[in-house]
Amino acid sequence: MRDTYIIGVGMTKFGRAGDWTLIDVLEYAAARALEDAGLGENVESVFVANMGAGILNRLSGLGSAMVDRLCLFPAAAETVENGPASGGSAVKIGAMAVGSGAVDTALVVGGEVMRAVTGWEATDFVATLTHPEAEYIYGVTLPALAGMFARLYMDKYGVTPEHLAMVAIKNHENAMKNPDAHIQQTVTMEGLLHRPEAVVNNPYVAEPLRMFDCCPVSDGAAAVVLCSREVAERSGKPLVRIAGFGQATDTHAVHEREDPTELAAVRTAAERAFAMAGRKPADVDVAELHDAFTILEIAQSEEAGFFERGTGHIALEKGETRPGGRLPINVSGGLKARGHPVGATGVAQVVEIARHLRGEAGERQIEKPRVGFTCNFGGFGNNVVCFVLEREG
Amino acid sequence: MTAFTASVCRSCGAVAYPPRRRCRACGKTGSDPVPLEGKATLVTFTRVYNLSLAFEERYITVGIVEFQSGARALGRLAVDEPEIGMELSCYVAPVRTVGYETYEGLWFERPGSPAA
Amino acid sequence: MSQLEEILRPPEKDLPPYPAKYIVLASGERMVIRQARREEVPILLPDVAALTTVDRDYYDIVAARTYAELLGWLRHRVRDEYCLVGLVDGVLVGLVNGRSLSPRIGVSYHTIAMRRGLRVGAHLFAAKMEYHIEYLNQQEVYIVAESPIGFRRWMIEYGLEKRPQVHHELGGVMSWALTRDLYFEAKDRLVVGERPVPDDLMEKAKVITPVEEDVLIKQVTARIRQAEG
Repeated sequence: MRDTYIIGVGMTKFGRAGDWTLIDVLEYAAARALEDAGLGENVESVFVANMGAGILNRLSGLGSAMVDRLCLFPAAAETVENGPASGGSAVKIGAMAVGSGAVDTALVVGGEVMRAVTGWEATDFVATLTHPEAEYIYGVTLPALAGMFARLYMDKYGVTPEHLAMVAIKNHENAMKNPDAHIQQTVTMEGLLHRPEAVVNNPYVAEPLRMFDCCPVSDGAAAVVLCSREVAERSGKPLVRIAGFGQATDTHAVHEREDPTELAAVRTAAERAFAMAGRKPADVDVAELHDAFTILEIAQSEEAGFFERGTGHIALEKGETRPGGRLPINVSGGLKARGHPVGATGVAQVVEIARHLRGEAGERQIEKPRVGFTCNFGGFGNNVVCFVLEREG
Repeated sequence: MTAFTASVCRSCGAVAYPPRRRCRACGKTGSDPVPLEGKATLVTFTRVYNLSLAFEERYITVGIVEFQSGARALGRLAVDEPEIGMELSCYVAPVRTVGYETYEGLWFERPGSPAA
Repeated sequence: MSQLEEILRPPEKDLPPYPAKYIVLASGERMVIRQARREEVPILLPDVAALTTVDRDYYDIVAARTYAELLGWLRHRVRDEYCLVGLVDGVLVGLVNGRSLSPRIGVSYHTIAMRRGLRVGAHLFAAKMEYHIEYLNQQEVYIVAESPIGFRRWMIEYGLEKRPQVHHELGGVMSWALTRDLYFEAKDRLVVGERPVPDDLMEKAKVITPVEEDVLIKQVTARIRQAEG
């Protein structure tokens, strides 16, 4: 397979779409990425990542709608739905399309408008990805699955509520330097856990997880333009290569997994991405992990191979995952503070890493990174897509 | 016996819930149903607060249990202070109403409690 | 006062004061909750008016009705009304209002959060319930919800009782009630804050600083559309 490069990135701010429709939001991000790529309307293939348009916005056929809105005729187009990993899947399929030689250029745009419904309905919508008979009918939500996971994980490895809060505090702080973040508000250990007011400030959502352990419900979109090496060299843009991708699956019903504290699909997807890139976790300079819940940032940092199992929270405590630390994680603010428009997230993670590798991450720029990593976590870990990205030259 | 059944692989004996035709352990096709019944042990649990509109409660308690057969399942807990490793018994009762449809599901309680 | 005005004005009665308290928010900021004085209403009205243009999460309806209630209080057309404000460094972050219907019964009007994501509305609503039950010593408070957020917060978190026979002053849907028992059951997990407010903090909360309109709109909408979009 030949190499695939990222020559254009763009995204909306994450937050609330207001009177913007899903198509408007997707268009904004896609137009920014196309503008950045400088290819004009010269895109052969379009992949739109989205999870909930059918349920939330009563829309289908987003791929065709996107081509129409951007006048990209007669480009090929499709919609990619893979739950919260839709974005990662679409980037992967785009990379396969370019890598196979079938096309030289592809636009990948992921987006979601979830705030079209109430928070209740949004939570229920995301819960439709759980097992219908064995999970969904019980009122199980994603926070519920994460809560059951967190209880075992915390017991086993000595992770405390303070460690979870440290993830939130770090990622909220990071988002202060990201103008595209949904939430720009720092939070403190005192206010989240240690004051008597914490019972109201930070109530339980699914014990032991509290409100500030969960990502917000966001609207937004992110886009990348992918191309062959030849096109990338002509563009004069910094060369950012998709060095490796990996994807893996796990059981639909979470209770079927032998060790309920393992995220086997994260481990396998990361191993596959590193193998394809010919890299190892120690080579990574900056990573975006899928912290839909604070516990997941800690667990994924271990499953992806950055820290020994059971030591992710210690690395966090030592500041190793802060900007300037050994491996900055979620410099963008992560899902926790940048926000989580489900279909957009996997693409937004790639946009963030590409910006760092290009040296265009503004105030939050990590110093001269060469290798970046992303983990986009679908379901409760039943479908995971990871990328290794590299700066050339 | 509950109306809920797991499956046992005819080739390797692996138990699965929800039932599977094709075995996850050995990959062979063909299984027989076995009832989900008897004592179960609590593996993990959570109290869930932000519930869907179908629920009027402030929170519900859900957990994952392991039956003696090795089958695992998720269900509602009718237990005030659950503890990991505690023994539970199983019954079937409504768990959710969607529109005019009421769905039954697995409930777990301390053995000897009067079924709700 | 003209004779006609005397007829139109409800009798003046001073409600017992709500002693100010402060709450440390998730951000670490200290929010003072204190009673607003009638003469402070003109400071509050422009911010409330600005929110009548926000069609998200029922801000427009809630703000329009609150505007009328506060104006009614200012101009002596609503009887026994009160307003509590939340202030961070003197800046308005939210307000709640209601009135005393009788010595036994309180009526909750509205809750407006001017900053979001820090549970300002939840803290202020709790303070309002605290005022009715603990300081006005009422038996119950009538409540209706106009927004899904309100419904979820109040009806489910407090486990309110239905009062289908009660016609709440705000009209509309089913009335609910917070009884003394429900209040004291929920108090530990919903009503927080410390008294007295330290002098330095109270000093900053003396004068209400309204929020600039564009900042306020940005705070409550978190819109992603950018100017050039």
